Amino acid sequence: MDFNLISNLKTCYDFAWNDPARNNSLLYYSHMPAILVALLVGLFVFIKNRKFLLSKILFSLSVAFSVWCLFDLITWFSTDSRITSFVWALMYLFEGLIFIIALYFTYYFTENKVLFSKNIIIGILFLPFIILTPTVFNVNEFNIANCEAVQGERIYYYLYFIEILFSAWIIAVLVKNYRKAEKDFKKQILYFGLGILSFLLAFSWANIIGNITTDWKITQYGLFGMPIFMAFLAYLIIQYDAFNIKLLKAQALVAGIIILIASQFAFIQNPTNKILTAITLSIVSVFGWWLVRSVKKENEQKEELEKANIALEKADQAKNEFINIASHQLRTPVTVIKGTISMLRDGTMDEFDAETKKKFYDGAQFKCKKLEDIINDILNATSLTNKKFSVMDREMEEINIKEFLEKMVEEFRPETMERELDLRIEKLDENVPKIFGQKQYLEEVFSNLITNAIKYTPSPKKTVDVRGTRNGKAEIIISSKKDGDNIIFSVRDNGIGIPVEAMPELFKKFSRAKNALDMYTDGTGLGLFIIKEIVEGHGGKVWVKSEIGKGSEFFVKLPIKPIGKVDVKEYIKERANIKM
Amino acid sequence: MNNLIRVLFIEDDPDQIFLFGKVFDVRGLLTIAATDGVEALELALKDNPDIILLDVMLKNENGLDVMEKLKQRKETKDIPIFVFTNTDKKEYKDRAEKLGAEQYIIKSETIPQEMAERIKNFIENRKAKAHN
Repeated sequence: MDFNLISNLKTCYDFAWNDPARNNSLLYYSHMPAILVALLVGLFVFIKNRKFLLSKILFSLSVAFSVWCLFDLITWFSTDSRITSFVWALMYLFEGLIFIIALYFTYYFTENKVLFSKNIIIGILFLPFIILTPTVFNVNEFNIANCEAVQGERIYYYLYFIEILFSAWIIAVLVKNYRKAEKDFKKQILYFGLGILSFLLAFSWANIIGNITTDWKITQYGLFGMPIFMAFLAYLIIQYDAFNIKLLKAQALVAGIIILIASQFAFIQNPTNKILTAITLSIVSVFGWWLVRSVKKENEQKEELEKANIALEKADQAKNEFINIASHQLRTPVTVIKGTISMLRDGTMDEFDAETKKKFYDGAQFKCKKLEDIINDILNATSLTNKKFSVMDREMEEINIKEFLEKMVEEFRPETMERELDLRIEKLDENVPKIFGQKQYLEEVFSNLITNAIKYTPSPKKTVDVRGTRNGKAEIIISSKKDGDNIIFSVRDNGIGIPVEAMPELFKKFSRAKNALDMYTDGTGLGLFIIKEIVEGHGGKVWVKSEIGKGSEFFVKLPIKPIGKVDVKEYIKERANIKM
Repeated sequence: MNNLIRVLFIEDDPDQIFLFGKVFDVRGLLTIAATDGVEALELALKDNPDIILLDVMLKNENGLDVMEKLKQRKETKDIPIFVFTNTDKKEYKDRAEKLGAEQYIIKSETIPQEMAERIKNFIENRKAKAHN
């Protein structure tokens, strides 16, 4: 093709700038605001949350769209057919790109992932754009008569096919996820869908119709979908913190007003008006800033209150659950004790033989012990958290580890004999014979740990209060070793173990694992809580390793010489104060 | 033998089975004890009890689930059930009522002798009503 620059420039100049049929003024309103709004929202979201994938996708979409608009403007105004042809060809690529990014945007907004197989399909569908853009199949000639590039028809049909296919695809993804979503997210998908569809449908149909009729003016109207889309996104950000951005209505409003006022500078000619507008702008900015700051403060307080409210509800729930369990746990022994005494009073007892009578008394006595245990547990837990409850002061003292542990084991001897459990001490670190601590509290720690181990380790022999038996040896092993300035104690059993899901809640008040409830219904869920408070009161740590069916090992790490004064009571008082 | 009222006592605490069972025996009731849902269903089918005393907090299951199963079966659905528990959770009470429990009794508020009378009275009233 011969290229005569002068005649080319002249034709195109006449066509672009002097043709009365062309309504160039519309271009200002169609392209410029669309680009501005898209870049503004895209950049805002990107800067606010750079690491968030969705922000990156939105930013790419706004950039791809802006580039397309820019190219389109060039085709309108360029008087050089070479430039027009070049950007005309590239617009093909960017139009495809916009639809692909829109599809990804929809996927990540609604389900936060794109399957590998779908990535492949999208990739294959996009391949022709990359391959064909620079070829003669795309733009092959320039029509100097109307100053427009001539495009290959087939390749454009492919673009329309992709636009229709991807629009339908996006609708399908939206509908599918809308159905699955919960109430709040449903609304978000709805607004997102309305936004993205008004953008894509306006954009693609204006392009398709423009292309078929070659009345390119129509394409200008297609761009108005973008500001609508961005308005929906802005609403999503304000109302639902979409893109993980917290933006207050007041902030958005103030920003909007400031932009509106500032934009007046583009039109105002009169210097007095300019000064007045500048004054208005600065007043609005200052008051806007002040308004946003106070609204922000209020909002933060509201959020804090909401958090506190949730914490309170949880605490209330735990308390109710405890009252339910405790009332059952307390009433059960009372039932047996009360029944037995009533039989003594009304003479029913006389109707039984000596052996049966003894069994009644044994049962009642056993239930008395149960009741005592439960009451002690509750009182201990209360004394540990309730600052009004006075705990006797206990001084720190030197504790001989070997003697201390041997005494504990001896105390459990009757119980372990009855259950045929092997409770023993193994591997004591002889390098550190003594530690400092509040002995009576530490006794409670180990007594609770051993009691738990006994409770949840089925033994070959069945007893009244523990269900389930086992074949083979039941054992509980206590050991200690030095670890820097600390001693790590361990109490290991080969019992039922602790389910993984129960682990995080284990040391909280009133928490009990499901399998513990099944095996031994009488616990209050306070033992481990008490242990944790006491050990932490000594500046130590408590943790557990466990495997279902194989057993549990509880570790207690205590400083050999606690730094400063240890006062478990004071420690717990402080914590109680924080909680209240 | 036929005059004895047969009580199926679904309870997992041995002390309570012993206490209530023994007293029921000397008060002319025949106590059959089941400690879990499977056993309960078996005995309900086999021994055809006149009444069931049902605990809610059983070892591995909720007594009300057992009740639902009993009420679903043709052979056991007409056996009157007293829910007999130490839990007064509203949720349980409502469900028990819905499932058609005749009474909801808190164990610690009664004694075995009184329970025996209560069961006898209930069965007699029921018989009298059936005759009329």
